[in-house]
Amino acid sequence: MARYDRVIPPGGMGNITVAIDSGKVRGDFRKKAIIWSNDLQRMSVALYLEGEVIPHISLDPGGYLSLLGVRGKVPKEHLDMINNHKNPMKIIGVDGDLRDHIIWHLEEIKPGYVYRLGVEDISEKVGDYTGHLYVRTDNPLKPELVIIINGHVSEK
Amino acid sequence: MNLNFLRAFMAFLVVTAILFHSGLLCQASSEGGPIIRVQETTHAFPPVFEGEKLSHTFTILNQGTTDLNIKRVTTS
Repeated sequence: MARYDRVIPPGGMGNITVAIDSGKVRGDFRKKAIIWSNDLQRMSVALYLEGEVIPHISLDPGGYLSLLGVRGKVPKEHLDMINNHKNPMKIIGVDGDLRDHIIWHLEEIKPGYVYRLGVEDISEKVGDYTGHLYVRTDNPLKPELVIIINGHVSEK
Repeated sequence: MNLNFLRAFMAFLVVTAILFHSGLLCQASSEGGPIIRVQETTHAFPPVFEGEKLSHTFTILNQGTTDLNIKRVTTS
């Protein structure tokens, strides 16, 4: 998004303000804004904005877990939730919508900073399922994390 | 008489085409027009957490002799 002065008089100055929604960007970024003007020698000028957007809480390896395997022998999976702030964070609770398929447990790896969420398949039937785990935190800037769970349980 | 006029006219067309192709005519018209100058074309933000507002104002100078019209600014 950009706001700008439409007309700049001879010898004058004008402003072009470019804004970025950091809620939609992760990691390193480089955004471009192009000015189109009536200068016949330089009708377009490119401007660049660079930086890095850090998530409040990183999910390693990512925001989803896949449970794939033979019924009763599906390997357990886990992900780490890493607090990127200096102040410690607490996990207030975990809820899910796959109670017939999975159980979960939370482990403190580095209290206040790194938590491990383990997930185990308990499906009695074969088939596919998809659902979520909702992790509530005491960080007001990131009160909830949504973890996507995919399951594929086969007979053999 | 007509032949001389035709030759002169053809020469005028050739010279005009050469000047236009080399950009000399464009430059001539721009010298009396606006000239955009941007002192800073890249801005680096310090690292921020997600959700924080990121905004930067670039300064544009018009070093020409007529109004500089910013027609639009596109972002990507």
